[in-house]
This record gives sequence, structure tokens and C-alpha cells, in this order.
Amino acid sequence: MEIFLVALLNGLVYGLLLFMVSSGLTLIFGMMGVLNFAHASFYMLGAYLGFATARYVGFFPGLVLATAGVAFVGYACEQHLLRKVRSHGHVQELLLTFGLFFAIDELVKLFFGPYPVAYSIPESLRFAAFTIGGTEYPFFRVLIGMTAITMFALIFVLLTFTRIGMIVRAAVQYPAMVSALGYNVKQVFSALFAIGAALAGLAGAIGGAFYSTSPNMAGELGAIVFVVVVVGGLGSLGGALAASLIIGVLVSAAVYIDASLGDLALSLGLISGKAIDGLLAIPLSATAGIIPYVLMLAVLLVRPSGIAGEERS
Amino acid sequence: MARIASLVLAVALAFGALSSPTLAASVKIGFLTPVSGPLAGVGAMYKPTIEYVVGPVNAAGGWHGNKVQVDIYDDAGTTQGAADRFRQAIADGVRIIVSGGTSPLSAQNLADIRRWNERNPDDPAILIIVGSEGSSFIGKDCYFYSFHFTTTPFVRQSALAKVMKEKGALGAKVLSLQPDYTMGREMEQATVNNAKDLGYEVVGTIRHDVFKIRDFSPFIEKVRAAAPDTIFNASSQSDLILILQAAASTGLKARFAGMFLDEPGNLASAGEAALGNFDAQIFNAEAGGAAGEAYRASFAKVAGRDPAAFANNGVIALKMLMTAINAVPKADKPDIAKLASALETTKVDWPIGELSMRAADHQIQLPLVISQVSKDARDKVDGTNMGFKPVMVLSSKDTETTVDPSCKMDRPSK
Repeated sequence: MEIFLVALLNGLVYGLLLFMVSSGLTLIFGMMGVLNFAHASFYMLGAYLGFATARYVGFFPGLVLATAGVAFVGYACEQHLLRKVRSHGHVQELLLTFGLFFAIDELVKLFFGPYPVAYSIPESLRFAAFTIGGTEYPFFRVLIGMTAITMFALIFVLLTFTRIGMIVRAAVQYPAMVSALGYNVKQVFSALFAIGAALAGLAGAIGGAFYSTSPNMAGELGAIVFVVVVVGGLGSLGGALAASLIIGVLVSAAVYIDASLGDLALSLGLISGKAIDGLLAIPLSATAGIIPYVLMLAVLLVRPSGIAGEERS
Repeated sequence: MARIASLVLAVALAFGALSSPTLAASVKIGFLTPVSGPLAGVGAMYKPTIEYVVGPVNAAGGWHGNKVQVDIYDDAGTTQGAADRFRQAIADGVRIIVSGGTSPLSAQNLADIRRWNERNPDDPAILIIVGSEGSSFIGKDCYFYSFHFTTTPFVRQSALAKVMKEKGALGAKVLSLQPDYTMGREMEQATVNNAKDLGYEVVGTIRHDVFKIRDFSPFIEKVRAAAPDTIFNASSQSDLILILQAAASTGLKARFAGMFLDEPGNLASAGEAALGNFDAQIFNAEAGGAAGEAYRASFAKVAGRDPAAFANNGVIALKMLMTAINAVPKADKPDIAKLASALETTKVDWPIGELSMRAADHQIQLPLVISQVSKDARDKVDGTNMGFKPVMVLSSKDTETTVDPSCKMDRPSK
């Protein structure tokens, strides 16, 4: 029971961190139609900016500065790069962000070196929030979870119930009309992109401290973030939340399962014990990292629009 | 028009005559290593070793008065890149290839060199494997023109377990937590193999995907359930840091024993979570006495940082290569078959013991230092207040393993 509870909590917190990163991606896609390949790079930038500033101003002010810094970079990218290629179509936008991914990767290596850097959570935050049986549950994990939930609530309220949200949604659907009413639609898009980037930056500043900050973190997280967005349904915030939690819990649970495909076939009487070899002998726990990708395959086969996605023409 | 053409031709010929003698006589070595891409840290580690070893050789006159030229070829960490850069190096006239990457990259280099040598038996190339730990290089894939300059997971696990047992740090319950690829599987195999001889019980073998897991806490919970005293672990880079941090944040008390903790940046990134863990090191300046300190200081002067982890393998491999080359008689360029024969008997002094090459399987015989991460270490690492406190130095005799019977080496009949 203890183990089950801890595994569930671990899965949920990991899922919430995934959501923090992928929410910006799905927001930008849903609103602007831009599939931002460099999104995980914003996550990495957030971590490095947090690392660079936390030394001087402290951890929490560092988080704020990192988020603001990445928002600024996102704003500049939209204004000076993406806007220039928008008229050529979505493929050009995608290729541009693909190039941005590599550029940011090498830039980070240029400034901070190819090795991991010493960015970690402050000692004052290393304490147990509560204990389950014999397991101390770290406070910082709870903090990650709470931040993600607050973030989701804020975006949701902002987009659904405020005047700003209304203008944004209107600008997405009827840009010409909104522009005619006197709103600067280009600025709305730039701000939207900046907010999406800032969400990834915040996730990076927190996640980089808790996990590790190295030039490879964008590449390592990039793929899984796309899986979350595809499984959740491109453009759907709620879908991304659901997908993140499902993936987090699934990966966490799979680690405890030592049965292999061969064992399953054996118990069903399909094969004899001697035939368990190679692929059939790999325990599920050793494949935990692949499960999200299998899930994505299954979702694409059964429901291509994702959990909460709308059918796109 | 014809006069201009002949003038150009004359100038070109003159330049050719000027430059060709030095070009033809210089010794060309190609260092294939990832300088860009996710493995860029590997190349950054090896880069200064070239200047450190080859610089003084050239200053002392090079190879019989000819310059030794080492060029870096960036394979970007992919096997496709490794194959492309190999072709490029061969086209550049390089016949001495140093393979400074991971086991899959070295395996690609080895396959390419075998093919080249089969097609060009009169113009063979030689492979110097620096840091790829896969044991197949000295087992079923052993080859006359290929030399292995690092340990295998079997060597490191045995060394760690032996020393930890002797120091009473091993405990009775041992667990193997490994990355799911060749290296981890071999480390797991070694952990299981040594259980009987060293009197410990293996309470679990767990494998994880490489560089795909962000949150290792489920794995750590599973480890905790098995209640081990020592965890053998061959994870590297971000995987290693994430594992150590997950273990520390949940208060797991078991010690980790591995071989990648001393790679640059790891201690800084893992923080206090690294304290108390064991590492099988190629070199440790504190264990090397005055000679060790002299080497550390002179390397740091060239490289800007202390020699850590596989940077030492780079120094070792290049030093032995330079010694062997100097034993090859003067000619237009070094005879590769003679170079291979010379390498088989090369011995080099090293601050913590002698280095030699075993002719039977081309495996280097080298000492290891078993160290523990501690705040009492003399040399602090990565700007932290921690370092590697040597626990014991194992001589190359102590670390020696038997020759893998699957190694059948075909020697050229001459």
C-alpha cells in the first residue's frame, strides 16, 4: 500500500512537470498553429538562466528572472524570426524552429560548456513534506506539483473568463475583424508566443534544479513533450494535462512490474517456458522509457486526434 | 594565354616541390571523437590530451625528425558520422585512427578498419580504442590491428567489490541497477558472477532505459524495497546524476559503486548526493604521490582543468602510441604492421604503476584507484568542496583478468 501510494504520487508529480513544459507547446500550437520544435530548448534556456541568476539573487528571484528572460527570448524569436516566415506557411515555421533548436543547443554549449552545471535546489528546501510509512516525501516534489496546478488554473481562468482571453481567442479565429476593431493582432501573437515560452522557461528553472542541468536536457525532454501533446490532442490544454498525468503514472507503475511478454504468454499457455528468450524475456520494468511512445502509437491508431483534440481538416 | 597557363603550372609545381617533402614524411593520426551533438562532452575531454602528449613529442623532434600531426574528426556521436569521418580520414592519408567515443562508435570504426584492411592488405590501418569499455573488443571482436586502452565493466566491478569487501564497506546484500545497453549488462553479469567468490547476495537486478527516464524515484523505491547495502551502477551522465539525486532526496542509505562519477561536471551537478559513493578511477592525483601531482599540474597547465575520468585514457593511449611509433624504424611513413607489433610489447611509466599491453588480446594492463567521494579529499573537484579520496590502489596485476577464450587473433604471416 505504501509503495503503491508513493509510486502514484511520484507518477503524478512527474506528470505535472511534463504538463508544465508541454502546456506552452500545446497553447502555441492551438492558438497560432505553430508546431514549435524549439520548445524544449526554451525549457533548457530556463534552467540555464535560473542557474546563472540564482547565484546572485537567490533561488526564487532566479526563477522569476529566468521565466522573464525566456519570455523575452520567445518574444524576440516571434517578432524577428517567426513573423518573417509566417506568410510562407506552417512548414517554413516548423523548419525555422527546428533550426532554432540546434542553434540554442550549440549556443548553450558555447557559454556554459558541454558538461552538466551545478544548479540544484537550495539546502533550505531539502526537507520532507510528510512521511508515508517509512518513506519521507520530499517537499520540493510537492512544490513542483503545486506550481503546475497553479499554472494550469491561471491560464485556464485567463483564457476563459477575462477580457484578455476573449481578445486572444477572437484574434485567433477572426484576425482581420479583431484588427479592424483596433487591436494589434501581431502584438497579441508575439505576446502569446512569449507566454508559451515563459511556461517552458519556468518549468526548466524548477525542473533543472530538481533533476539536472546539462546541454542535453532539451534533446532528452523534447521527444516526450511531443508525445504528451499528441496523446492529449494537439492544441488542447486539458488534454495535455490528462496525457501528462497518464504518462507519468504509467511510467512510474511500469518500473514495479517485473513480468515480461514471455511470462504473459506462458501464463496464457501460448508458449513453453523454454521459448522465453530475447524480446520476450525483457521485463516490463526495463522498458519504462518506451511506454509513452507505445501509448502514442496506440492513440494515433485508435483516435488520431488525441484524447481531447478536435478533428482537424 | 598559353604562357599564363604554363606560368601558373610552374608556380604550382614550385609550391608542390616546396611543400611535399614535409607533408609526405609527417606522421598523420586521425582522432575520431564527438565534438558536437549530445556527446560533445566526450570530445571536449579528449581534445587537450592531444596537445599534452603530442606537443612535447614534436618539440623533441617528432618521429625521426618528422612532425607528428593529430587531426580531430568530429563524428557527432553517431555511427553514420563515425563511418563518414573514417572515410574522410583515410582519404586524407591517415592510417592511424584513434577512436575516442562510445562502444557503438568504436565498433563502427573497427568494422570499417577491418573492411579497409581486407581490401588493402598492403596498406593497412590501425585502431586505437581509447575509452570504449565494451568487452567484445578483446573478446570475439579482437583483432591484430586494434588495441584496447581502457578497462571493461568486468575489471571495474571486480576491483570495486574486492576493495569494498576488504574495507568492510560492501555489506552482504548487493543490488545491480544498470543502464540497459552493453555496458550495463556486462556490469550486471560481473555483479552476479562475483557473488560467490566475494560472499555477497545479489538481492536484485534492475535495468533502466538510457537517457529516457527523467524521474528515477520509482526505480529508487524499488531499490529500497530490496534493502541493499551496496548498489553497483554503470549509469553515466544525466542518468547517473538523476539516480543519485533521487536516492538522496528519498533518504536511501545504500552506497553506490560505479565508474562515471569522476567525469567532469558530475560531482557539481549531483551535489551532496554524491558523498560516500565509490568510484573505480583510472587515475587519482592524491594516490599518485609526487609523480601523480606533477602529472596533474602539468596536465592542468595545458588543458585548464585536472585530468579526470577518460581524459586519462586519452593520455595513456597517446603516450603508448608515441612510444611504439618511436620504436618503428625510419621510413617515408611508419610501417603500420611494425607499429602494431611494437605496441604489443610497449611499456610506459605511469604515476600509479606501470602500463603494458597484453599481446594475446591487445588489452592494456593498467592499475586502478578505488576512491570514495568525500570532503576530506585533497583535490577538490568542479569547484565543489568534495573530491575523490583514494581508498586503495590496485596494481595492474591485481586488476588483470583472464584472456577471453573467444578471442582468436589472426596475425599477419611474415
